[in-house]
Amino acid sequence: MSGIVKEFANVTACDDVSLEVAGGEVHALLGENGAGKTTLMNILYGLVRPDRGVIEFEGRRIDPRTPGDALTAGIGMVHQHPLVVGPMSVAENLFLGGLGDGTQDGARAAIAPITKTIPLDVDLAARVDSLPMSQRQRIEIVRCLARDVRLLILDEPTAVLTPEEVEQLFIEIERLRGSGRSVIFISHKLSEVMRIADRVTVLRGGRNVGTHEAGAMTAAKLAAAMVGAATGDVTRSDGSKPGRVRLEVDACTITGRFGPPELERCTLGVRSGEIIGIAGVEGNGQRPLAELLFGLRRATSGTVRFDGRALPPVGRWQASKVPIARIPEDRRHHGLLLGAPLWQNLMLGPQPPRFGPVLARRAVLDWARTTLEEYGVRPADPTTLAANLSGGNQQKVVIARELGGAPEAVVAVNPTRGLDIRAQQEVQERLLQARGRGAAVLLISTDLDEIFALSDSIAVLYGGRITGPFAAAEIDRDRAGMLMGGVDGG
Amino acid sequence: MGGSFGFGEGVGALIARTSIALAGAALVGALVLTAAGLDLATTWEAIYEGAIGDELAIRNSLLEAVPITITAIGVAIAFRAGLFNLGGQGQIYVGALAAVLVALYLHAPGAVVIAIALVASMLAAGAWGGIAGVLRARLGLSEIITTIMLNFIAFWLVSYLVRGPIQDPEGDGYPYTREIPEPVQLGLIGDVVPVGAVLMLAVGVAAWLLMDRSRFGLKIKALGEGEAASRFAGIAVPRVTIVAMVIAGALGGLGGTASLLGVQHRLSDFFSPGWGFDAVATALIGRGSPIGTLVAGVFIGFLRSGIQTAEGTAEVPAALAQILLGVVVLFLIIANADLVVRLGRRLRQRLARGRGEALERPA
Repeated sequence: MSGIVKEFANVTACDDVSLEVAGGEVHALLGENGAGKTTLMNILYGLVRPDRGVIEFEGRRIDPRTPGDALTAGIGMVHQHPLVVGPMSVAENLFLGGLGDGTQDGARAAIAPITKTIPLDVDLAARVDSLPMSQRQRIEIVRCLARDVRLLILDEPTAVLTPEEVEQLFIEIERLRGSGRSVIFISHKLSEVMRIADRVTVLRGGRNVGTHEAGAMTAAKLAAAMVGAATGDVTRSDGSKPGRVRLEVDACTITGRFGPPELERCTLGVRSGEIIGIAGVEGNGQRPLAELLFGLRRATSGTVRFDGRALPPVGRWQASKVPIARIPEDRRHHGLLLGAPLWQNLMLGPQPPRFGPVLARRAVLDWARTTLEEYGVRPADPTTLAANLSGGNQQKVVIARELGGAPEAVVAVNPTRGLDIRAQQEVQERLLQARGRGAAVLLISTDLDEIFALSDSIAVLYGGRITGPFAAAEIDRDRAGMLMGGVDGG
Repeated sequence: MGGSFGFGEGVGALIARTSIALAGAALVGALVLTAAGLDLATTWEAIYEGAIGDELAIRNSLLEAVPITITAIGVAIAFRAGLFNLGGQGQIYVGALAAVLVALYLHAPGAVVIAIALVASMLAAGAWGGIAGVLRARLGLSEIITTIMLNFIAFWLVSYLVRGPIQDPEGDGYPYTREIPEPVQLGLIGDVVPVGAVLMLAVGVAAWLLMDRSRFGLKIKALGEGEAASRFAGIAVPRVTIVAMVIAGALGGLGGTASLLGVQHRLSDFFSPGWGFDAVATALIGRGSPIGTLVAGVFIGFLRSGIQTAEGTAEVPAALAQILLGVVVLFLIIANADLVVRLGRRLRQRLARGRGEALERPA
């Protein structure tokens, strides 16, 4: 692939990326979230069309417009959450992939040549959604091989696997390499990359920042390449004067249905007047941790407490006056009612003002307009539908709603994702203001720049476990990068 | 239920849309009537006379509008919660059943019996709607299916009862109950306005207060706009779901009871000629807003009444009359579809912009 460029609405996902994969090699693609790994591979697999650039495969120029084109050319992709039909049996799923006739015998015959390379080891009659992720992935790998795929893309396959299953997968990858096929292995886990890859390409901010022989690299060097150097920061002026612990996560574990636990004995305390940043690559437990803190989910064991009292489910927060602001990751889905006007969205906050039993329209609209103006939302018209705002302004509405009532704690998840620089800074300044007011702020973000710019203490989430927190002065980006990649360089 | 219905639209646009729809319906209706060899002028006149020709016509039209409109307002409220209540029919029967039992077997002053009958019908029908709400909230069952099933159960329950246990012993075997005593019947205010119409207006105002002026109404609308965001915001989604269905059911029951006490005076198994489904169409035309639904319901009532009268006077065959009604309702629903409203808004914006550019351009 050379000179690949792909721009989405306002982000450049791939910025003139070139990548070369040799026959019979395992090539790792390493990068932080949003580095462009998945977009690049989606382009190769025909799921996304590039704006510019050339793809050549086995000496021929190809232009895959659909996954079908890619498969015909000999390129296959296995997704992290395999795209199999859950309620159907393994044999039926193989049939959908063009293997056999849907019966167990037919499927067994059809996959016989392949299973010499990769044993399927799956009950063909089993419903796919009763199988662990590792077996579902194997079904997809077998389906790809049946199409005579010479280049197999594995998109973060290990994120959903237990350590034993990872070992098994690595054996399979070795076999694929042994059979002369190439494998592109997407990951952010440094140890895995160092173990399995022949060469490593690091992507950062949509650019290829270097391809290296894995043998010539160390985990530390890869980590540094992955996270890069700090960019311009917001000013975090005053020294923090943290008070007592307000928000506590105490030994919380959430066991997953399949695979490894989503969270494992996470413990953390956030004091008033401080921001604790949780760094980590997406998919390492951010979502379950956030859902726990948002009151949307209960821990299998352990508790989340505010001022020493266990947090109730979110449905009882208003009644029990839990003063925690929540800024969700997905503002369009969780944060806002897109089809409703802004004033209604503002009324959904943790502590909307009392307007008496009958909501006087004018009083509500006046309050909403004042709030919108205060938070610089444009247009500051409370009757505008949320859907008609830009992403940055939508996020400002969420911030206005959540921080407007002067909350005593804030939990924010990727609060600036997808925003332009200006909106980003405004949102970050609001978080700093909340801290200045004495709120206990927990910032879960996959953007390392943001973590370092805002946090008084930094912890890293990897594989559902928390390391740290460390005082911001005691941890540098390289160390954080190592921890994010699962290497405790000490 | 996506979209923004009930908000940010001028009256002018509403009138324009409605007029275009009615013109379209009139055109198609004319084609149908001409094809059937009927004289257009006579037919239109008969419909008009039947709807609002004289005091009697207006009274009958209002009586026709009451059960449809009250039920439709309930449907509209559920609608705003993202719930499709197709159970109006069953809720009407259950409510009327409760009311007729009270009216026939409770011996007390008329006003007291009326009040108790109204409350009883709302409780019974509310519970009936609540069943679908609970099934949806707790088991995730589609209320579309469960309300239809509950319709069958309610209808056949009433059918059984009016052919047996509560059948009029002097009714020559007809499947209906005895007539309710005169003091329990709802009369007229003046000579034209039925008490039920006042009830209908009161329900409309109450529903408007609930939906547009109360916190609970906000929660209902929030749920309809986005379940995930509502749950995130801490709204008790199951409770709001159930309450919305209870309200819808209760209003269905009230609608049925208004007709029972005000018009029919007996419960039979041909009590409701499909009001539950007319109510769904009405709520769609009203775009889920209580006031819009009130207006739409009154219009549908007048239209129905007019067309029914025309059946008699202008010799329009009953089947054709029903087709006419269907055409009008369909056109109104199309004109009020979210997509159509949005297209209209965009068209207006473009026209306005075009005008603005024309002004800016130097002459």
